[in-house]
Amino acid sequence: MTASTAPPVIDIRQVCIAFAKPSGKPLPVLADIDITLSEGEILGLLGRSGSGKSTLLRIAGGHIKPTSGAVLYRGRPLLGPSEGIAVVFQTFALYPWLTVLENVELGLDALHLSLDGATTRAMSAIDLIGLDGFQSAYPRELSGGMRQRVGFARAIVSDPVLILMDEPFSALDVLTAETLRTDFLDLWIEHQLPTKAALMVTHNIEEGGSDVRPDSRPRLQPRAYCG
Amino acid sequence: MTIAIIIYDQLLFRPMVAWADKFRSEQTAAQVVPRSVVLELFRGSRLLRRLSMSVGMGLHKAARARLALPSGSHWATRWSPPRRIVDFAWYGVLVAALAYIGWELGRYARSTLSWGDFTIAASNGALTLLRVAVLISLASAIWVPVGVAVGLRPKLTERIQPIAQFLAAFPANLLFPVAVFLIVRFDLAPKIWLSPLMILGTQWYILFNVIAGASAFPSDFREAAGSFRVRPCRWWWEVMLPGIFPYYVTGAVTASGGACNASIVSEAVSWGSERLSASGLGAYIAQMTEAGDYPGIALGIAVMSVLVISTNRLLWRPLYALAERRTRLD
Repeated sequence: MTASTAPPVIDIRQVCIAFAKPSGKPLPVLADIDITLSEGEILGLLGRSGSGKSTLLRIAGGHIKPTSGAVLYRGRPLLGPSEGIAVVFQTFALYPWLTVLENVELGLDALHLSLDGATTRAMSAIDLIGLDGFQSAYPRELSGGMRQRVGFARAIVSDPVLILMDEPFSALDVLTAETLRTDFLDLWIEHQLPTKAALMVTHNIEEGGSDVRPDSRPRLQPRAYCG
Repeated sequence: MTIAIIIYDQLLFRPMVAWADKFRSEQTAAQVVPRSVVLELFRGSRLLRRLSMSVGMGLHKAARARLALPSGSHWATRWSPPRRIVDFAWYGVLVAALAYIGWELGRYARSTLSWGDFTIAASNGALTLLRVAVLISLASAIWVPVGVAVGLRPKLTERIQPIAQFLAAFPANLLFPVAVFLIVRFDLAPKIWLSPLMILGTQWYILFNVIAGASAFPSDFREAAGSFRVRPCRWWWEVMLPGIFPYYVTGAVTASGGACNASIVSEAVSWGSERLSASGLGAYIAQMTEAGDYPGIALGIAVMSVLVISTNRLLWRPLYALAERRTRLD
């Protein structure tokens, strides 16, 4: 593995974050979080609900600025949503007024591709994720599992280095979730994705893998797990 | 006026906004929370709390009280004529009444109005309709971007909302003399420059609704667009505008209806001895009213009703249905 030479994909250092309570007082959510995610790793963030997992994921995606601490993406400070980082949402976050193809193409918009090039790439992502033939359907016409497949297709279409997943399977039934999870891991293991690392929030201990120590303390202190 | 609006905002609107924050159906907590001194007073003070508690308990009891229908079984068992016969009779009465009214109207109109009156009213109507269409487009081009910019920033919304409210409550016709003065002073064409007056008061509905739509835009959708770094052009046309479209249609319906109404006062304006007329349906109705010409007034109002109803049916309703269909996920 090249992890020793290349800088870690994402390096979260001493991150603290506090939200404002209605009274105006700060409510500390995360304190002194350190996470290093190197190439080839899938890290599961496991914790009880409300412990700040999703917040941490949004910090890693550059959506929230931490109150203190630093986030380095491939050795450079992360100042906002960046090229090479893609997100899969728990709620899928598909735009209901766009077709599957248009939704996936939105994930390519930042790459300044030609119209044909974008369509070709979007179509191959749709094929890869197993939605062949559904490109002109609207999200409302799809089942929950297929919607999340669109979410995955949109995330992988831009060949991201890092995929952030916020409970991607928790809105699906057990069997659908299992199928989708297996499919994603197959793509990962067969190196069909150029993706180097993934960070996944979950509340499912099985998803977390074998090397997970659930933490019962109120503040999240995640443990790294290499897959 | 200004003071009334400020009191209204502080005592009623701001507490409502702060309180309504708990109905946000979002997965993520807002980083900026609307606040209100009055609401905090209500939540914090023991006296007010007890008072509102007792009122609340009363309402709770009222909601759970049983309302027994007096001798309900008696009614149900009584004989009633078959439904179809009743319907038939009712429609018969309606058709007869309509026919009678139509016949009377036709007789009245033939004795007092000529075909020339109809064509004048219709062409004036077309002119007013054109004005409304142009003005709504202009107002949309200005207020939709502003509304989105404001609605996506809760802090700014809190500050802008009372200002927009003040502007909407401000009687627009107070500004008409200024417009007349300017038009006369610079020798402008009243047909063009009187037009903006009709949207002065109603453009704010577009702004309000777009702000509402943008602040209700799901945060996941925004975050998705942000994380894929969607470029501005695409962001507007494929993310934001479809998202606020139903809200915009609501605002535009209200604004266009209001503008039609406002045309009556804004297409024919006078200030002292200066009289300006932009010609148009509003000017026509105003002129007929001044002359006390009842058939003319009736004709003008009939044309306006036809215009408003047909734009609602032929334009806004289909748009609304489209918006409804496109933005629904299930």
